[in-house]
Amino acid sequence: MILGIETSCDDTCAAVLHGNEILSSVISSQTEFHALYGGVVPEIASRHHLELVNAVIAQAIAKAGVELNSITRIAVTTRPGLIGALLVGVATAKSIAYGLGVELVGVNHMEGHVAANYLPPEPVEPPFVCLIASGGHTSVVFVPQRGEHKLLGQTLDDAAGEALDKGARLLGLGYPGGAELDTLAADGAPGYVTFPVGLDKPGRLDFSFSGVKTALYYYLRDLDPKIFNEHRADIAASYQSAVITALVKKTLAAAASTRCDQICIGGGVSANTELRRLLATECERQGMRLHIPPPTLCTDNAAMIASAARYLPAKPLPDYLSLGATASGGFAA
Amino acid sequence: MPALAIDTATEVAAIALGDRDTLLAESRISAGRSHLELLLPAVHELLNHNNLAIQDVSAVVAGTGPGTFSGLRVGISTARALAQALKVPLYGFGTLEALALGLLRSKRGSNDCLVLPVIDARRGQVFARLYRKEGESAVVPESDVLCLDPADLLKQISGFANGKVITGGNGALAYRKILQTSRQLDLLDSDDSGNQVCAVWHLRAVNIENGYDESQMLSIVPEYVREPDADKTVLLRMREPWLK
Ligand SMILES: [Zn+2]
Repeated sequence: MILGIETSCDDTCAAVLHGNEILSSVISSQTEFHALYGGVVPEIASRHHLELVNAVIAQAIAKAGVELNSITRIAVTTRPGLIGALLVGVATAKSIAYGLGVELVGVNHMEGHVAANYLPPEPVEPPFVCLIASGGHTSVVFVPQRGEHKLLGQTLDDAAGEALDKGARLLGLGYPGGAELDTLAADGAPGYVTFPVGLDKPGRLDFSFSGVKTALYYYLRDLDPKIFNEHRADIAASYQSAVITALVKKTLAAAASTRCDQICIGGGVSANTELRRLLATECERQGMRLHIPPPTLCTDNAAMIASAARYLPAKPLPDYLSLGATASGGFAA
Repeated sequence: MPALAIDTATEVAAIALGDRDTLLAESRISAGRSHLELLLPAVHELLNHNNLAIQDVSAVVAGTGPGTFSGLRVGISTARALAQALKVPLYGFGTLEALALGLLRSKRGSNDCLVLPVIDARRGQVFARLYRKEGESAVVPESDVLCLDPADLLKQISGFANGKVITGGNGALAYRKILQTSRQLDLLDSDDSGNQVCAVWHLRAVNIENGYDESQMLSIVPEYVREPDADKTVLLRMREPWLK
């Protein structure tokens, strides 16, 4: 039985996995606290994690209908993320493992997003190409087998979710605006304005969203307010389409480059309607199998961290007592 | 069955095993900014040295600061999770108060009864609180917890009392030049005089009685004193979307 703990950004998460079965997955979101500032404030996130983490663990244990001492392995995110936030999770995980006398696995958050695809209700097996797009990260990775990751492309500036949130903000929507942008865009025409798709060149698998964001800024700055009010949905749809097109094009190109016919996704942006629609259409057209985990497994959660810990080697006592956390660290190319 | 006390408010991580009346073992490690990596191995070593296992610990006492935010969070997260896993009671005890007790102890025999523990708060400031000795092993606060420039601390103290004030702690040592300009302050600066926070005083101050209590454990949080400052670089990026 594995207890997973995830505190890398602004959600405090704990989950219990029995074999591949998710017995519980608790996510305590801090979004309301950060909304005031229009972004995640690291010091506030760290304070909340400390206050919430033990109760979230207790809740995950209770929901799973087990006792804390039936846990045999602890899994925790050690990188990448906000360092102060990671510190709380790692200190907590090590101490619980030490107190229970069980082994511990440090997990890369990005690998956790990949490992969410191994969980029910529709577990998949590699090889596949996985797109991970959220407010904090944007990467395309080839997974030939569990635990092996080859980075094919990543963002050179903003993350996709960050680009969507910032676009939403420029359009006068709240924080985090990605979901509101998605709703507004549903009523708009994506061809109304042509915004640039970042690094749109054959063979280029990296992403860049600063161009489209700047283009939207200057477009809105010079726009007649009357037209803005009339066409807000069209502008939203056009902007969102440019961001999503980049994600879909590069993911399919990555699959082609590895001769892989299975595509998986992870990260909060996978909830985006346009991404789901366009990916499904393109996968169907090109004869690819598409796998999208349920929304609660796409956004940050601890079940995915526990899932990765099923196949990763565990550190025994007392080796893990000195385990640290690092802010950086994604996949290697 | 000893209690385990942990204090990580300063660069020195302090741990101790024992209870109110008996001290079994104590250790202090210069952890710098590496409390996360060094604290639990030090706890493990101290237990090993005394032929004990972590499961033998009957209670946990955590120093609640004030001090460096990250240091405190590592110590308190560790203490809370150990209490949760071992199902033993958790107590919090202020780091300034523990330091005050240590400073008074090292000045035993003196008639001075005012003590001013000072902890470095970085950014040119210190955390401090004035205490008055109460009996042989207790102190009562004479001021609020202060977070201010050392020069302002001097001004405040001269307004408080006319007797001698014993002072020490890493903040007092960091700003010794400023604090020594006051004739009122008696600065203790040898290592075993309690200038470093020592976990022993947390053990001596806490009366351990009840068993594991989840809501009590959840109530132990760092004493930050300072409001969180919104990290400017991150916020700027979010507020001004066209930057970066
Ligand atoms: Zn994530």
